[in-house]
This record gives sequence, structure tokens and C-alpha cells, in this order.
Amino acid sequence: MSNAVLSVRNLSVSLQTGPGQARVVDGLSFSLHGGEILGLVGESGCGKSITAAALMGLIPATAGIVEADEIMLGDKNLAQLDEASLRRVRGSEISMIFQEPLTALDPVFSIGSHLTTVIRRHRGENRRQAKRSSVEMLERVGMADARRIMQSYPHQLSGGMRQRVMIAMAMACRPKVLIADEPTTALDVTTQAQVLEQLRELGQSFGTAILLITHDLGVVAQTCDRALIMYCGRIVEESPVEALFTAPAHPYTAGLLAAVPRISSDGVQRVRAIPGLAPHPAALPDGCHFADRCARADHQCRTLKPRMQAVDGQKSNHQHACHHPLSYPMSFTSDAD
Amino acid sequence: MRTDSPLLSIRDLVVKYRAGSERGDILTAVSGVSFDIDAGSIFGLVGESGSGKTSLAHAIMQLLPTEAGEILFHGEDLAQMNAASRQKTRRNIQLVFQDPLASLSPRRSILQSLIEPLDHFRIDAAGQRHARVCRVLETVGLEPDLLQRFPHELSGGQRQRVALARALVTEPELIIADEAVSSLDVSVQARIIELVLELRQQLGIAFLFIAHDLAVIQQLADRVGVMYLGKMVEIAPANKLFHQAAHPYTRSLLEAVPVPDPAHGKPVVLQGEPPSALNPPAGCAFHTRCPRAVEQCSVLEPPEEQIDETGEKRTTHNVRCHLWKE
Amino acid sequence: MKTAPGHTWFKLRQDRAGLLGLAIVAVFLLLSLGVLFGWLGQGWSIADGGRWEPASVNHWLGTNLLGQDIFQRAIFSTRIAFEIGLVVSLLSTLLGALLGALAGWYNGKPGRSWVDGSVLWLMGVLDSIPFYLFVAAVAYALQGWPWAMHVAMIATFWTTTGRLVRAEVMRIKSREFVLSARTIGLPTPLILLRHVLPNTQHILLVQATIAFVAAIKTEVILSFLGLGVQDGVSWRLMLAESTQEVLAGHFNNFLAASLMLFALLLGFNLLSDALQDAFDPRQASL
Repeated sequence: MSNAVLSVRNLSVSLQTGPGQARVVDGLSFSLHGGEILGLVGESGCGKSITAAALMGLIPATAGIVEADEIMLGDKNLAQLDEASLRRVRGSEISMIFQEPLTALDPVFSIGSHLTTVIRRHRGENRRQAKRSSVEMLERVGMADARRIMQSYPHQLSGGMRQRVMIAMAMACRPKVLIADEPTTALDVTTQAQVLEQLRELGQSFGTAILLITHDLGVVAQTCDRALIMYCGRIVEESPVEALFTAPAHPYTAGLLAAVPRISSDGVQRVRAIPGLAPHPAALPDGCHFADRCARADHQCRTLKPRMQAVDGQKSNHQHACHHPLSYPMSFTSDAD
Repeated sequence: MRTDSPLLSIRDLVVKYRAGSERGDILTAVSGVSFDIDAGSIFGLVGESGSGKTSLAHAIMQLLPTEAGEILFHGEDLAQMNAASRQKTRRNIQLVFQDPLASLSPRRSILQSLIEPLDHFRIDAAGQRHARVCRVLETVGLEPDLLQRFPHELSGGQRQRVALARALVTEPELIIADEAVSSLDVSVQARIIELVLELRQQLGIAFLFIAHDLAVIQQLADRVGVMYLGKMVEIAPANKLFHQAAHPYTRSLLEAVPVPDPAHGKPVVLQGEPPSALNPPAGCAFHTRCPRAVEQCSVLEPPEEQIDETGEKRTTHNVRCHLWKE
Repeated sequence: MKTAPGHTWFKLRQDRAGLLGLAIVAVFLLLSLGVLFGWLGQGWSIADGGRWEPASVNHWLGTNLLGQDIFQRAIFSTRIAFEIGLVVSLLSTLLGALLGALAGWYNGKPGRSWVDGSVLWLMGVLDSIPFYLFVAAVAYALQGWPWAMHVAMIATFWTTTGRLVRAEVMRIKSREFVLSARTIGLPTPLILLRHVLPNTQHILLVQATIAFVAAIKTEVILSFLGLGVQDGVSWRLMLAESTQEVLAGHFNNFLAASLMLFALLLGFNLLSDALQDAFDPRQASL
């Protein structure tokens, strides 16, 4: 598509661990478009948070090696920017919110302080203007008593409110891209729905592209337009959300869907676990990383790394990386073929 | 599966503790909760943070003192037991925590952690304890070569299975699982759910399964209780709760869970902030966020009422709401 | 990834300064063991040289006023230095660990918090007495008893460790693995020994190395003040002797003692810093 706000090609991250080099992100490529919410989905250890850190340039050279053909934000290639330029870009064109807002906010500064600092740094407003913009942003994220919140300190607010403050801070400069790393995982279910709603609404009205990192498929279904499924550092499926849930092509996606408990009002749908364990990042097998746990794996799967291909050779917006993708019609809770 | 007297019986339990350094900062975590758990059954306790569910679990495990009410195990009041009976009860009720990394001692090997309860309770002759540990590991689907490792070397799922093994090793009659699957990946969570069901099936162990995720509760529970700010607002057999929830909070919980199905409507958003447990609202604690609240709700606390006709005590559907009839 | 100690060792291996420190300490340790077993430095008291001889094949660093071999004397002193360092650091760390753990554990427990209160009070009292006055008082009271200085140092050094352990125990005691031990009804002393204290290892090890350094330095200063045992030989005695000699232009004594002292303390300091970094949980792997 032509109006990609963020375009990532062949991103890889290698970390040094005790046992050896671990390729925690392996050749990731995807695009993000203005106003859409793209879910980056996977279980712990799959590399999704490291991807976010790599995009923001937050991985120090001593910790790991980041390589990418390109990370295009508009016309800038983030992969080639120096630290000073990156700092200008962070917060103004690309920003990030994290899972645990209590640790992301400095406890000795008031909320107003946090907000005005960000605004003044990137928008160059003076103190009075910044204060006004801050109050505006707080109201935009649904905080009723914005002026009082400005004077409060992080520990005085609830988890949901703190997360909304984080969103206000991140969106204050109308960034092109917002990366939200598990923003609602630490929140109660009822608060979670509120925060996601806020995020969606702001993203659409500001035209910001949102990369939503999560392990919760329910969140993906409700909030995302498209989703990327990650496993062991690779994208195994990329699809509009509708097709992902009704006709997943990759066995791992199908396995995840079968493992998610759903509330049903008649009878219980039993969950099914994916057999086996994910391999350690420092000891990844050749070929498809999922082969050991896949009922459909054969010799080809264990030797040849699958490449992304479109489902049925047709619409290019539903892609998978599998030698023996699932085909339809069939119920997605069955993994036999 | 059900005998006449329940395995665990909680009667009007009140648990308070000091939340701050001021004299007045007494927090009532649990205020008058009652329910029963039958041998071999799974009771699901639902609540968000601040509901008092963890304090309830800790009180049953004798980690917190109770202010009022009774905890009866096999009909005997925990508070009245002598030291020997209390030790015996400790063997029979085990607790599994949410964070498996935090619940296993970081500098002790898996073997040491698993054998500790056996040594302490003097179960089996000393030479046979290792064999028992291996058997229990097998039950939870782990290999004995894990025994020499340390907690941080295992994955989250393996650790939680070790935590479960540790709970099983004394052959308890009741296991309390406090958010035991909440921090696990979806596929690992599914495996643990399968495991809990197997354990109940094969060993007849009862579970008090505490979670905030109703979908997980539905997979496991025979009977469900919903807590809000220290009170049990609804309690019912599982199928009744999921078909015909009567309390507005239960309904909002059911509707707020994001469904992994894009065709499903958007979750209904509950307005307002959860109230503080130090300063609970007057009347019904939920009235500040309840879409159906009327004036009576802010003044008078609703009593617990049975809303179905069955006479059997442990299959009733009870609710604390002024408006359940409507 | 290996065990917790393995992981720490892995990080330590990568720290050059730390390895240097470890090497220095190891060398000194071997020297002092050598002296202890009677293989080295045994000729420290033999006055077989002339007065203030320069370095030669017989006497590698020359001789002192009495014709004694400086090199032998310097080597022999490592044993004394290590002895005082080890005794004070081990005992003060142990005392600090025990009292700190008790204070931390009983903090806030209704009915038992007097334990915490008393330990804190004791720490406060000891910390507010000027150190050298305290030591002088103890030395005087224990009139010439060789262990007087050790006792004085242990009695004051333990408070730092105690405070750190107390804070850490207060953090650990609400963690689930401790709750787990309580739920099976383990008695408190067992919980403290088996589950709580081992998890303060990182603090104890680092504090012990710091105490070692402090003990040796303190001992040197105390001797200049005229306290402490005056017979035998130790670096401080050599330094004391050398104050006169330096005026006459003979530096060997001074150099030997101060370089040895400096090297050992430097080694321990490097090791201590490296240990702190290696134990730092924030730098854990993925």
C-alpha cells in the first residue's frame, strides 16, 4: 500500500546470552499505515517487546546487535540515524507506552510536570501554552478532573488513570507512530476496555498508526485492524483480523486460538494446549521453528525455513510462513488434516 | 462426589489488616463472606484487584488472622484447633501462587523445594521421599532431570507446574490456586487448565480457583462466587452464573472480557474507577459504578438473598442486590 | 543458563578489573597461607644483616635498623593482616546478618516488633559514638588483651551490614516463596536460615570484602594512636619504624610496607566493586 507510515524491512536482533548468541528477532518485515491499529501478537519470549525496543533505537550496542535493511519512518531511515537525531524523533514522531505505568513515570514529578516537559521539548511551546495543551490532552484521554490531575503524583492515581496519562504523554505531539507494549496487561478487565477504547479513538482522530503489542487474542479481536503473529523471532502469519480468527493459515495461530478460553452461554468449549515447549532462543532449530510442536511437520519443515507467502496465492494481505498451511473450509479447532 | 458435609466451609468471614501507619488505617479486606466447597469439586472465585480474594486465600492458609467468622475444615474450626490438628490441616490444604518465579526459593534446587514439605511433615521414610517427588513430577508432566536445576532456569510454564507439584506432594485434599494461570502464556495456561481437570478427575482433589478471568473460570469451576470489595455479591452453580447472571457487576464482568472473535460486539465499558477499600461507599459497594443503581442502593446494603427455588444448600443461586427481581 | 552462582561467575569473568582484584587477593591469600604453614617469611626476626643495607641477593629489599630482612618481614606480615581482616569481616558480617535478619523479620509484627526496635536502638547508639573514642575505651577496658581491637571493630562494623540486611529482609519476607514456607508451617528460625538469609548473600559478600579493607586500614591507624599489639611484626609496625628511618634517607621499610598494604587493599576494592556488579539483578539475561 502506498501510504505506509512505518516500513520495516528485514529487522534482526541478536543478543549475547550465557549459552551463546541468541537471534531473538529474525528478519522481520512489515508496514504500518496511518490511522490503523496493527497487532503484534505472540507469547512471552517471542521477541515482540525487543522488536519495539529496536524500532525505537533503545537497544544499546553492549546488549545486542540490531540490523535492518531499513526502518523507514516517513522519509527517514531510523536504522541509520545517530543518537541525537533519534532523540529528536522519539516522542515527536514515534512514541511508546509501556506495560507498567508506575515505573514509567518518575515518582517525584507531578503529572503536569511530565506532560509539559514532553510538550515543551518537542513542540517548543512556552510554559503557559504547554500547560494549556497538557490540560487539553488529559481531557482528550477522558480524565474528568484534568486540572486536579495535573497537580497529582503518579502514586496517587490508579493503574488505569496512569496508563491514560501515558497515552496523553505519548500522543501529545501527534506522533506518526505509537508503539503500545502490552498497555493493558497489568490492568483489570473493566479498566482495560476503557483504555483500549481511548487509544483507538485518539489514534483515529490524530491519524496515528498504532503498533499494539499483546499476547491477548481477545484484545486483538476487539481493537486491531490487522495482526502479525510472532513465534520465536519470526512472523508466521500476517492478516486482517477477521480472516485471522475465522481462517488462520498457520498451525501455530490455530493452536493459539484453540488454547484461548471463551465464555459461552451454552456448554463449555474445552481449551486445548499446544504440545511441547518453545525452543530456547540460543538453541533454535533449523527450518521452521514450530516444526517440533506441529502435527503437520515433515522433513521439509525441519530443514527449509518457510518464507512468507500469500494465502491461496490470492489476496496479498493475508500471508503466512508455512510449508503446509491450513486450508478451508474446516473448523479451526481441529488440527488434524 | 458430594458427601453430606462440605470439605471447607467459610462462615461470615471477616479479615482486616492495617494498611498504613495511622491508627485509623484499618482495611476490611473481607467483610462477611460465606460459601462451601465440597470434596472433589472446583470452586471458582472471581474478583478484580481489591476484591479481597487474595486475603481470603491467605486467611484460609492461616497466613492472616481473622477478625470474625469461621473457617471450618472437615467441620472443625481452624481457630479452635490444637497445634497438631493445625499441622495436619496444613498438609491438607496447599496454596499455589500467581508468580511461579517468586513462589520458589531462588537459591534452592527444584528437588530441595519439592522435598521440603515431605521432610517437614515427615511423610514417607526418608529414603522413599525422592521416589515420591519423581512420581509427582511425572503427574504434572515434567522430567526428573529438572530436579537439579534452579527456578530461573525453567520456563514460566515449567515453574508453575513445579509449584503445582509442590502443592501435590503432600497429597492434599484441597488446593487453593491464587491467580495461578494469570501470568502464563495462553498455550501454557491451557495445559495447566487441562492438568487441574485431570488432577480432580484422577485424584479427587478439590480446588479453590481464584481468578479475574471469567473465561478461565468457566473452563474449570462447578460453582462460582463473585467478590467485590470484600463481599460476595453473587454465588451460583457455574452454568447458572454464565447463563443467567443476576448481579450487575457479574454481568459487566462478563461483558467486559474481550472475546477473541472480531464479529462479536465491542465490550461494554464500565464507567468510573474502582472504589478504595479504605473508604468503601455507603450502601452497596458497587453503586458508584452500577448502571442500574437507584437511591436505595446508596443507602442500604443489600442482604444476601436466594433467587432460585432449590432447597439443596450447595447448589443455590444467591445474590446481593436490591434489584435482582427486575 | 547455569545456576545462580554460575551466572554470577559468568558476569565476573567479564570484568577485567574484578579479575585483577581477584588475582591480587588470591596471591596475598597464598602468601599468608605460606607463612601460616611455615614455608615463607620465617626469617623475619633474624638480625643477620648490617644496619640499613640496600637491596641485595641475600636481602631482596635490604635490611632495617636491626639488620632484619625487610622482605621477609613484609611477607610475614601478610598473615597478620589477613588474620585481622578475616576475623573482623567474618564476625561482623555474621553478627550484622543475624541481627539485621531478626530486626527485618519482626518489623511490623504485632507483639514482636520490640525485637526490631531494640536492634535499631542498638545500631543507633553504636553509630553515634565516635569510633576512635569507642575503640580507645574498649582497649583500655580490656587492658592489653590481644583481641581488644578485634572486638572493638566487630562491635561497630556490624551495623552497616545489619541495616542493609534488615532492609532486604523486609523486602523478601512478603515474597511468595517465604509465604510458601510459612504455609507449610516451618518454624521461623528455619525459614530465616534456609530461605531468607541465603537470598541476602549478595549483600553479605560485598559487605564482607568492604569490612576486610576497613579492618586493615583501621588497624594501621589505631597503631599510630598507640593502641594495638606492639610485638611481632606487621606492616603497621614497619611503617611506624620507618617514620624515623625516612628522615635518615632510608625508604625501603616504608616502601615495602606501604606498597604491600596498598596492593592488598586495592585488590579487595576492585574485587568488591566487581562483585557488586556481578550480583546486580538488573543486569540479568533475557
